[in-house]
Amino acid sequence: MATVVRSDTDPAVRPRPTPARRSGVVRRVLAAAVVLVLLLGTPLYFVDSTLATLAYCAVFALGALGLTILTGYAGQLSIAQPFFIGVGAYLSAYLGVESGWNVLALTVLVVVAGGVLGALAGLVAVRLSGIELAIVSIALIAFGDYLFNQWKSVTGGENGRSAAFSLEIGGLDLAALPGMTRSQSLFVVCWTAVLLVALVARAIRRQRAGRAMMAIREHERAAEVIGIDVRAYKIGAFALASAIGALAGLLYAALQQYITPLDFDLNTAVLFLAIVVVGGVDRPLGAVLGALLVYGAVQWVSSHVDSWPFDALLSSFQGDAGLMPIGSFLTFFTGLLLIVVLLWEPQGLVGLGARAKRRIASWDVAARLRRDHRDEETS
Amino acid sequence: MKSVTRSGKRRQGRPVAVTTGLVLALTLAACGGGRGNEEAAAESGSLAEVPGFDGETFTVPMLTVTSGPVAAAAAPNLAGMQAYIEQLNAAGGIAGKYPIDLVVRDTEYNAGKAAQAYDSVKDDAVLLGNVFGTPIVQSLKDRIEADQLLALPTSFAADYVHHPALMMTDAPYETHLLAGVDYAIGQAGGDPTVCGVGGEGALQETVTQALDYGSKEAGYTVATVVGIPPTATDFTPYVQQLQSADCDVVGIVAVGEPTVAGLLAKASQLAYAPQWVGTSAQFVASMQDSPAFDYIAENYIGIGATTTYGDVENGGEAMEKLVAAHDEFSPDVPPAYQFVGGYAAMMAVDKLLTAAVENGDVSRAGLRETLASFEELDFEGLAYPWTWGEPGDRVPPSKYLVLKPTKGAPGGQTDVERDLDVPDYVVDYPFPEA
Repeated sequence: MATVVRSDTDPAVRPRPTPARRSGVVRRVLAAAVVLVLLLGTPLYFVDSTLATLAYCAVFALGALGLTILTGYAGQLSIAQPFFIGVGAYLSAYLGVESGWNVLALTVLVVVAGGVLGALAGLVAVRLSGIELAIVSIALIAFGDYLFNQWKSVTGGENGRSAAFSLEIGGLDLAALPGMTRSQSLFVVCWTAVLLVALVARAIRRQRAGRAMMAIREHERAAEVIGIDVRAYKIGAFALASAIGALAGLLYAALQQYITPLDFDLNTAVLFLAIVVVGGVDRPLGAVLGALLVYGAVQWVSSHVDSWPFDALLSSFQGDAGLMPIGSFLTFFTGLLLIVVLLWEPQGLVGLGARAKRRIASWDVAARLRRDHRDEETS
Repeated sequence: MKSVTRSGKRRQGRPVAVTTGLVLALTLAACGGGRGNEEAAAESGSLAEVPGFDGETFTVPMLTVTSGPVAAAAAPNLAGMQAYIEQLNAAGGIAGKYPIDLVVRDTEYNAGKAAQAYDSVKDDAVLLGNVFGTPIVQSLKDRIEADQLLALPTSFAADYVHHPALMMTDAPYETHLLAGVDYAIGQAGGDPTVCGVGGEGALQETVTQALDYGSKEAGYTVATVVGIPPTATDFTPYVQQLQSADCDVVGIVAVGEPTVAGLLAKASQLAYAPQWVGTSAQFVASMQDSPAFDYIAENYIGIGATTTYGDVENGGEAMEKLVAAHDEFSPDVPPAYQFVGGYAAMMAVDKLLTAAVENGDVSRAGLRETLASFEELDFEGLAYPWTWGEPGDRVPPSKYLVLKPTKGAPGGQTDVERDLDVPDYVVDYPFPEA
């Protein structure tokens, strides 16, 4: 009997897309369209000052994406991200301003430098975990504080240094994209970087590396038993997170055009902690939402300090009627937000979204059951 | 208290209709002969709308410090500025018809936050009424220049004397440090040993350079310059360093009020009593409550260019107006020396904008042109005047006064000597070109 062999390319045997797969493709196309519209449409809708704030949100989201991989996936509690951001920022500022390095070369250099430094930190960190690791990461912030303050020929010391380097790549100025202002251009550049890194982070989560990291997070010993190279994955997570941090540093310097050690201190570390906790630490979307809510809200309140209802709460002059000055309020607000999120939804905004989705799905199921019940009664 | 402040007229979005209307309006304007705003405004006799001026109101952002450890030092200065603008607006505003809208932003004395605050206000600013603190001015000055803005720094760094974007209204550190040391040596007689104290880092270098210059020009001996970090809480080693160098006259520059208070209290405990010479910003009213106040009153003098609060005899009509403004618009703010400085700075803004309105050009370029046409920056007795003109021609006040801590006096200081001439070698100090 002749055997008929048909290949997968044969239309007769190629599986036809299921409705679920089709809807998945449609969803992806729609999501891509929405992201594209947001990326290119936002600069046309908002004024420059708002775009500048949103660009800073992007930089903080980028830094937080590093923590998504390191803390969210691999379970390594580190608050040293500002150190790596600082390294990226100072390297770009020094080489960009003093030696006129091309921004493309700068990007490669800061990412590699951040990655190497992160791997070195990872070598130490593999011996530690939990609170000990957090303490060592505080030491790294302190080391950065010393380095940025004392290496004056490069960093300018406590007074800081200019970071007004050129963003031109082969005739295309990233700070002046065709038909756009500086704020519009930098908005597009920063959020494009976030988008790309978020896609990479999302891909890692779905691949073998991401699953290995999450296994380490859940039970390190068990992960080792099933053959996961815990040491290599931990060092890799540190390297990746630090490289992303350094890239965020380059963009931060480009946005601000002037950097000081205060930009990369313990307060910034607390800000990052708040961003990932509020947004949700184990999803890339959490980093983005956290940055928009924590940093964006803080900036929004700052610019509305004299409008209702903040004028009753906040003071901008000595002798003003408000309860507290804006800076104190923002510290209070960040702390309050952290407490509320940790008490109510420890998975952050992403967890809240997932909970809402489950709730809606359960309504849907309940409605279907009721409908079926009604149909049965009718028949 | 909020009437002059606002969150800024920052639009969060541009509705499609407004954008379409704007495009249509622009198209019509272009078809109508392409006249610019200024031409049209000149024909109608009104001022052209420019960034920070919407035809009715001037927007003047202030990048100051309202929270954190530096807020106490910035508060009286800001209160003085606010009182002046409230009083001005009550009289109709600039030229009697254009009120000023102050927009206050808190930098928390952090250059990063200052840059973000600057981004949020720069597009709707006729000028920056205040940028508080040397590190903040340092971080923003190039961007202010690139944006062709003008800014009034609350900073005494010599680098800003000739800077085209900065409009200093108080004398730089070097002028007052050198004049004060000169005065103290004259009072002490003989050949006293001079020392300096500065904030660790750049300001320590500023003090070192200034005293080196003074020692060369005036012939005194400089033994040491001590740098104190802003985080210092134990001042024993710094006092011992000065003591072991046998310092008779110690000039203090820019170390912050808590550091000055702590340093002098520790010197009192260690029974070390040189003549301390501070610049005007070093002493703040709260130091009256220090347990070492008697020691401070005896051994400390401040050097300033601003008349003390309430001194109507020397401040004249302007001081009467200042006191009235304080009582009406800032009654809850304790009167302080720095209040007068803030009030005088806004007087300079008033004069600049008034002259620009008279010239019919309140654009950023117009303001710079108007400012350069001033021969003198006069504060009507509230402070000694600056010689003005093009940036390179500007000379800090050539007179100074000596202040003594006095319990119960407004701001805790009274002047013991006035109208002293800044020594010639100090007037000739080589301030850096911008």
